[in-house]
Amino acid sequence: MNPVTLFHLSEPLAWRALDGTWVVYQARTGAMYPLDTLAATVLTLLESAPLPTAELVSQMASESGLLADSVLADSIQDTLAQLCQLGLVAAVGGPPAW
Amino acid sequence: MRLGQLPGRELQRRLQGDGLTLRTGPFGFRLRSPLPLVAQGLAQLYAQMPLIDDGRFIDFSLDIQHGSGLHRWLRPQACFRFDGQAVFEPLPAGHAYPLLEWAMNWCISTHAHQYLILHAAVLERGGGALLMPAPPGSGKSTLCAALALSGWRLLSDELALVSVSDGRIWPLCRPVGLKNASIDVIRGFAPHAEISRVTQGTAKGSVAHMKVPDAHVARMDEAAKTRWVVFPRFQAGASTMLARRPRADTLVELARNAFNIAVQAEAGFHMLADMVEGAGCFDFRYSNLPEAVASFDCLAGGELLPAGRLASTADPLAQTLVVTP
Amino acid sequence: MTDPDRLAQLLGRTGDRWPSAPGDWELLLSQARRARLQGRLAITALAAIDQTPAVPGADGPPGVGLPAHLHSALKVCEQVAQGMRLEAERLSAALAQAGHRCVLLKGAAYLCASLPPARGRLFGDIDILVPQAALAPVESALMAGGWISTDQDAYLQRYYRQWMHEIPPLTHVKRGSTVDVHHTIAPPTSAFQVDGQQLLAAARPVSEDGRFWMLQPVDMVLHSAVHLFAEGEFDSGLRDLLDLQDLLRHFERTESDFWPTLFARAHALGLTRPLHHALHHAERLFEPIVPLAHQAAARAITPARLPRYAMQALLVLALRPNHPGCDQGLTGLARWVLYLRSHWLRMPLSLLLPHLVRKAWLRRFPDGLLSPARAIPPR
Repeated sequence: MNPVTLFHLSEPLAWRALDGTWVVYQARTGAMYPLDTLAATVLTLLESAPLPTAELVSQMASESGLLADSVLADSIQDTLAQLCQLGLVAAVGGPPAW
Repeated sequence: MRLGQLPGRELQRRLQGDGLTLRTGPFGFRLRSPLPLVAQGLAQLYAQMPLIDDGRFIDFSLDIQHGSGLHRWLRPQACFRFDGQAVFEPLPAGHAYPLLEWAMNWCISTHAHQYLILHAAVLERGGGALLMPAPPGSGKSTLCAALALSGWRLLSDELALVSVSDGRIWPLCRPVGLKNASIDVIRGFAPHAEISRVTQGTAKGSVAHMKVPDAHVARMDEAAKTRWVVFPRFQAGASTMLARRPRADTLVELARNAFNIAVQAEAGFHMLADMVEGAGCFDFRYSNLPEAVASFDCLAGGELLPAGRLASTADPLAQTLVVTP
Repeated sequence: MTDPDRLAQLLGRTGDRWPSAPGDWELLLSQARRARLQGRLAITALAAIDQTPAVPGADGPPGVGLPAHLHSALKVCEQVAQGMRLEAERLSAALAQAGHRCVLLKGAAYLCASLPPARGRLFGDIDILVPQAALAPVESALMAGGWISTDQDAYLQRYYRQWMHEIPPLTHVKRGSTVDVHHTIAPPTSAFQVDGQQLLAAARPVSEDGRFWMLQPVDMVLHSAVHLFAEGEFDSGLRDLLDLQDLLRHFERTESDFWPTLFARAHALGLTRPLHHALHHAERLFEPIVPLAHQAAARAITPARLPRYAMQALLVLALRPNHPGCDQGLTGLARWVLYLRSHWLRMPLSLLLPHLVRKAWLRRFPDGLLSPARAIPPR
């Protein structure tokens, strides 16, 4: 994946946290998705501003105290791929999320 | 005035004329039908329902008419019409009464978007509502009928009306639908319960309806806030089990059981989340009806300990209940 | 309230008095639902509530009675509109990938261009206009996007493709939305031969990004008129006429020389007959619409005497919502005759009769046999 690709939320999302799991609601489609902490954090970070993967990794590391290593980077890449597939996140300037 | 106070002839006259206007929960219905089974069913099961005689706006006017053309004589049919248009395919005339019940449910679930409407049974005890969403075949209706006869106030067996303005569940108090084996199970469980004639051969199998206890109908205008969300599942031979269900999962599953979640949009999402946040959420498995009812007694009266045992004062069945954390 | 044109008057005129009797409101709401106008009724009535206390229960508890039904109708309209916007965007993307413009017609155009007929509307299919030569490639592009022809009936496929020179409606495999692809605004086998290229040449972008296009205003009006009088599906008659009134009122304000341009275009495209009928019935049911300065031009498009009166009588009846409260005995027959007539406008006579017989037969016996009483299990 191109390291300078910026990711952003495809649209504003509504969410609730229930017993440590986040559920996100996508108004455009009416879909609801339960998300784990990693996905929820990625979405929160992207909510503030579009970010490239590298920046996501370092912000995540500093927030959580985890090492900014390849394990974290891979997890974030996987999460981003899933979120893109769900249409919640898209690459800036890329084709529409749907 | 209540429906049961009408002489039989007057009931017929209204049904065959300008319509019988009655209230079920927040809704006024105008019912018209020349079919005798409809009059019989109403007379037997709706005796306590209030009639509307003050000329107010009626929410839904529906007709259960004869089928048209050849069907009138060769194979008599019953046809549900709304706004002068047939809504479903006609059914055999013998299914006229269940058709009335399905028609009323259709009217409400298709139009009443001042409520978030869930496909679920709702009962109340001690001020808290028990919400039981379930796909067909889960044994929800059997449980619902049994609980309604065991100290739980019935709000609805099929449609949970969650008000958009206050988040509480509002009663409908309409007869409880029973299918196939559950008809005899409930007859056995409560021989005194008033159950309609059985209609055979419907799309859902054999169908009957149970009259709602008068005391519940009298409280038709009392809403309740959700305290428990329980997903029941009947499983032959299984031991009774109550297990906590994650709230996030409950939220998503409730949405799947909502008729009009799309129309309610983001507000509906938050309504469901509010309900789930404030409620105990469980999966429930059972095979023995009396045991199941007793478990719900414990749920209503006892406290649930995080480690797993259900604490209860006197009930010996408490020991059979396993609550997984 | 016995006047079956009451709904039309309340929706199409200003200042009419709303009924106060609950029973009258029940009938109005029921007729509106039948005509798919409940959203429009809701918007109009809720605005009126502020001025008059006529709506029963207006000051009652929330969630009960008539206001609850009106607000519910609005909620549904919003949801449907949202879904429509989404579908239109997806459609545009699918067409763009194959290099085609997305020229929207009717409801979808009203929505994306934020035109008055979009308010309170219950959208259905998306209609688009493409060049006749592009029908096949467009169908491929849409298939690639998931819209396919689901009608298995070989006869209907032939009806659309060979006789109508159209693609049958395409339904999305996953989402179930429907797209109708047209290459002109009047059926090409009809008495009205309209060259789609002329319409496309005059089409305008809805916004700067060129994602959506629409017909130029006078063509939009003429399309509405043609649709009303040559399509034969009359359940939406009243709504189409209300749309037309909305469009006329809107465009006469936003377009310079609108009325002369409209009449000139009607002459150029050979659509004076439908325009005449549309204007006549709009003025009869609603309010005067043609400005004084242009009434001579309106009179000039009046067709020959006899057919006009016959057509008018039929249309008066058929423009009422298809509802028992509006039935005055003849309506079913009137509709059937109009339906027949509109098919006559479309198809050569030799093809018409067997086609109609078959359509009537299919409606009666959808499985090809006397179908046994079959329930769609309700929930």
